[in-house]
Amino acid sequence: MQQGDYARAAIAYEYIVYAAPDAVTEALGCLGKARAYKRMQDYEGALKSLSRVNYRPLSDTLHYEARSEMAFLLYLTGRFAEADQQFKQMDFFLPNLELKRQTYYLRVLTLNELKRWEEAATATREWIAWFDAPQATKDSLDAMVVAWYEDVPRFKKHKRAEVLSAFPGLGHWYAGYFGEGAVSILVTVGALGFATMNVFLGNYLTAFTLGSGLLQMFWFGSARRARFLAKKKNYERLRNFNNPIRERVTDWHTLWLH
Amino acid sequence: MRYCLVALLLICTLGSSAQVTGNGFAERLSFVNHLTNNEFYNEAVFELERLKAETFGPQQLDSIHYLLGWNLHMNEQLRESSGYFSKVSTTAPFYLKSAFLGGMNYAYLGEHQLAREQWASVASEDLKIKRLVAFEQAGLSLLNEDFAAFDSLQQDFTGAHYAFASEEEKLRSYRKKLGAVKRKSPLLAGAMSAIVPGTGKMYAGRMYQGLFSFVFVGVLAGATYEQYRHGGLSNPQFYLVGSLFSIFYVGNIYGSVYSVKVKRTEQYEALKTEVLFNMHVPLRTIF
Repeated sequence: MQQGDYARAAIAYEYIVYAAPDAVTEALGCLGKARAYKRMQDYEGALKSLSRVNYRPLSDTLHYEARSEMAFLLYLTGRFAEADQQFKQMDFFLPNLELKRQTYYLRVLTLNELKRWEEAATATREWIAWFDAPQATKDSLDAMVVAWYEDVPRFKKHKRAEVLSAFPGLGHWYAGYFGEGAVSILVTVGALGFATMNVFLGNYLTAFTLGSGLLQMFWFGSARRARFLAKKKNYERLRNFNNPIRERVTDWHTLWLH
Repeated sequence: MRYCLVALLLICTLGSSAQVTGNGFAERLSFVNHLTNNEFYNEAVFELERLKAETFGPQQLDSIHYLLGWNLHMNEQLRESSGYFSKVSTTAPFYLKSAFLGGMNYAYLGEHQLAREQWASVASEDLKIKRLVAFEQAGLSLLNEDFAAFDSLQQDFTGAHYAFASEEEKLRSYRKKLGAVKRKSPLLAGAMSAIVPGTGKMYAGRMYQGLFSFVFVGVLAGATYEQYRHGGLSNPQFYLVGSLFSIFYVGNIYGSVYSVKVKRTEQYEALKTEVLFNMHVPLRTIF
C-alpha cells in the first residue's frame, strides 16, 4: 500500500466515525484510523484518534485491541508511564482475558524503561510460563531472566555530581569520566594559579579580570558539566541494559507466542 | 425506436456530466465540516481537493473554494488559503468573509500591497463593510509605518460599529506608540562606544548592558596598562591581556551598532503584532 493510500484510508475511517450509528462502530473507525496513521509513522495523530474511543460499550476483545494499540503507540513515543497506565487499565477492566498475553512483551519492555526491575523480572517469568515450548526450554529462559535482573544498572545522582564539583573534577570522576575530570582539575588549578601569581606580582586588575573570571567560568561550568555527564552515564547504562533485553524479548514473542 | 435512442442518448449525456447535486454533495460537505470541526485540516483539504476534481456548478464550487481557504487558513498555509479565498465569487454568501480573510492572510505574510488590493476590491454597499475596509487599510498603513496615511484614514473612525469600535481606539494608541519610537543612529552609537565603552549601548536603550561593557572593557584596559607598566613590550602577559582588551573593545563597538537596530526592531515588531491581532479581531466578530 502506498503512503497516499494510508492517508485516504485514514479519511475513510474518519468517515466511519462520522457516520457511525453506535459507539462500537465509532471505536472501530478510530482504531482503523489510528493504524493508518501508525503506518504513516504519525504516532501523535494515531494517539489523537485513539483518545476518542469510548471503552464502556465495547466487547472485551475490542477493548483490549484499542488499549493495546494505545499502549504500543505510547511506548513508541517514549511515554512509558502512560503506557504502563494502559496496562493497569487492562488488568482492571479485563482481568481474565487470555488475549492479554499477546502484548505481555510490551509490558515487560515498558517496565524496563521505567526501571522497575523487580516487576519486570516477575512479569517476564510469568510470561515465559505461557510459552508454547518444552519445559526445559522454559526453565533455561527463566534462569536467563534471573541472571539478567541480578545485575541491574546502578545510576548516578545528578545533584551529587554537581555538589562534588565544588572540588574541581570530583564530580566528573563520580560520573565516571576520569579524563575530563583530570582536565577540569588542571584548568581550574591553572586559573587559580594564574590569579594568585598576579596578586603576588601586584597585578591586581589582571588577577581580578582574567584570573577570577577564568576561575569562575571553569568552576561553575564544571559543576554543570558534571551534572550533564551523570545524566549521560545513566542513559548509557540504561541503554546497555535494556537494548539486549528488548531484542531477546521481541525474538521470544515471535518464536514462542503464536 | 428513433425516439427511444434519442432518449437514451440524452440520459447518457446527462449521466456522463457527473454532476453531483442535492443530497450527495451536501452529505460530503457535511463530512468535510466534521473534519474541520475536529481540527483534521489536512484531511479536510485532501477531501475537498478530491471534490474539486469532480464537476460542479458555480455555487458548489464556491463552497469548495471557501472551505479550502478556511481549512488552509486554520492550518496556517496562508498563501494557498488566499488563493482559494480569491476564487469565491461575489454572489456567494461567504464572499465577504473570504475577501477579508484573504486580505488578512496577506497582511500576516507581510505582503501589504496584496492585502491592500484585496480589500480595495471588496464589493459591498453596506456602510459597516465600507468602514471595516477603511479600518483594515488604516491598520495596513500602521504596519507600513505610513503615519500620514493612517492619520488620514483614522478620521473616519466613528466608534459607531460595536465590532471594531474598541479596536479603532487601540489602533490610535498604537499610532502614538509607534510615533514615539525614536529613530536612533547606529553610527552615533558606535562612535560613542569607541570613545567611552558602553555609552553606545546606553544610547540604544540597553542601560545594564552598557554599564557592564563600560566596567568590563575598562577593567581590561586597566589590566593591559598594568601589564605594560610591569614588563613593558617584552612582557608576554601584556600581549595576552591586550588582545583580550582589543577583542572586547571592538566587540563593544559592534554590539552598540547592532543594539540600535535590534532595539528598534523589537519595539516595532511588538507593536505590529498587536496591530495585526487587532485587525483580525473584528473579522472574527463579524464573520
